[in-house]
Amino acid sequence: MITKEELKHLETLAKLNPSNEMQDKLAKWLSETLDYIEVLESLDTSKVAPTSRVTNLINVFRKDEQVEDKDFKLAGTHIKTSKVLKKDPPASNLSVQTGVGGSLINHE
Amino acid sequence: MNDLWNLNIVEALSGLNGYKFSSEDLVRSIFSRIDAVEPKVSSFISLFREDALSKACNADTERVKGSAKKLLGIPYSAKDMFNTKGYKTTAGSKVLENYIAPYESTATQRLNDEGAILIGKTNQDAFAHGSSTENSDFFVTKNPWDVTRLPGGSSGGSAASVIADEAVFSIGTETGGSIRHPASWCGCVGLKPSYGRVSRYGVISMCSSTDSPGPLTKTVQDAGHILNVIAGNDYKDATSSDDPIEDYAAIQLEFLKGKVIGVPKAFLNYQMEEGVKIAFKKALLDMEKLGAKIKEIDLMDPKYAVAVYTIVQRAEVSSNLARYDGVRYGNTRETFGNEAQRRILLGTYVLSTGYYDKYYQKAQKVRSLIHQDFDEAFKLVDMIVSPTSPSVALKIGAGADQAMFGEIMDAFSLPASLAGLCAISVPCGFSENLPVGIQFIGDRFEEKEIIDAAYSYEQLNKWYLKKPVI
Repeated sequence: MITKEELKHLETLAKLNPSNEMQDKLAKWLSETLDYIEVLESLDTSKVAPTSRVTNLINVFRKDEQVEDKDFKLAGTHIKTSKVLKKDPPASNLSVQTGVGGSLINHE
Repeated sequence: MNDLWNLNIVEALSGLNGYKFSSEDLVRSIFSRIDAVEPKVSSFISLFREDALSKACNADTERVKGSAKKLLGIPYSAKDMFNTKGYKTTAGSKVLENYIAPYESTATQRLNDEGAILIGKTNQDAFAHGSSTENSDFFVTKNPWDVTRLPGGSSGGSAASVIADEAVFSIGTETGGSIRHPASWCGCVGLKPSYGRVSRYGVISMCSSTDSPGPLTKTVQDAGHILNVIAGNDYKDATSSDDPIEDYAAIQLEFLKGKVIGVPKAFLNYQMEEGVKIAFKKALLDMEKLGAKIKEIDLMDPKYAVAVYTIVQRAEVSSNLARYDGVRYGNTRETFGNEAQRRILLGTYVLSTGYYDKYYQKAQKVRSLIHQDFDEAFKLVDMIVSPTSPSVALKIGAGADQAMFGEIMDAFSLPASLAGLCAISVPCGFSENLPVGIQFIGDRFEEKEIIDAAYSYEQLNKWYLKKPVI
């Protein structure tokens, strides 16, 4: 059984925020699924290695040479985007934290 | 000229190459069919009428010049899981509602390079989560045999478009049954190639260790024609195999004569509908008539594959869907539907500290057992057959709010997916006017074997001649 606290924790990890109504259903669904997969406990796997690949491919390399790719031929082109940073941000005191020495820089 | 839409690939190519009709005629005919049946079936998320017609005219010009392209002028539909450059690619999810692919998947690129014409993108369970196409964030696709029923899934739109004659063929993707299952419920042919046989490049990732693109077609030989085009190593997908490919459309006749066909006892004992069991047993008798030897074999109970798949797939989903962070594709994570949310959460759980060993590690170990189980079986038999799905098409609404509906419906297809094997589903009769499918499972990279076997079986009853009245 998944508790409400566990579910909250998972939602934080997965960056999801389901509605209250969904919360109850989710707890039920997840518990049902966990009950089902308990069936694996009956198999002895103490001497089995876990699967990491199914087709026996090991260390796939390709030649270190340039390949023409018509989808991503960007040399000599430029990409136009709409403005990312604007003047006069809304009153919510918009600030952007940068990684430089932990200092806080306000972008206006 | 008006019913060109009902042609399969072999027939259409023969007509085009003999100048009996043009590709433009064919594409116009397909769109007239779409206009007539699409309101009832709802296979497509998007359609590209103008583009398809202009490509058809170009194909006709190329043909006169003597083009050697293998699928020149043949219209096809693609599951909305494939990135198709310049066209909306939604994966059936609101998260990607407005995403226009900036590049082309390898599979569709290869089809286009051989002259096939994309006419539209088909509906699916959002992010391919499900076996009903009911989990699409947009609408439900209906089964052409009975529009109150589901087409199966997750490539439900692809299967429906083929059997409703809205496309000459379709390309779908499978992770645990998503090609075979809808093929079975809609009564068409669905080929899941071995893992790595067809490049995953440009296919929206679901469960990267089992995702396999493959064709949905009207006949077995058609599936061979498509595999010829899409199979083979691709430097853009490091997991794609360099195992040599064969001519899959060059059918070896009377292939079943002398072949040993395994029937897993555990599958037969699994809960299934009576109509499915009857059609399957009849198919076994038919194959004996064709000279095959039927042998009961021991394989693990499918319930273990269901559990392993549930863990592994949820784990990979939680990681693959982490990229939809609201920055790159516009919509936030709030946009995920119920099914995606519940899969992400379970995947997060089985990978989280304290549970990794108990669930994920354990599942990957049992997966090794499933793998070994098949290896042992293929020492005794040439291939394995079973019903594709334990039931025929269920009523719309059947899968709603059930935590593991998809997995239970896919119980017979999951084991082969987890072991990276190839398998093909073909119709094996009807139960109350709804199609039943039988699958041929082959060893890794033995597509040629199962295609030849499925062809021999298919030709005996020719179920593909029976079409739904829509």
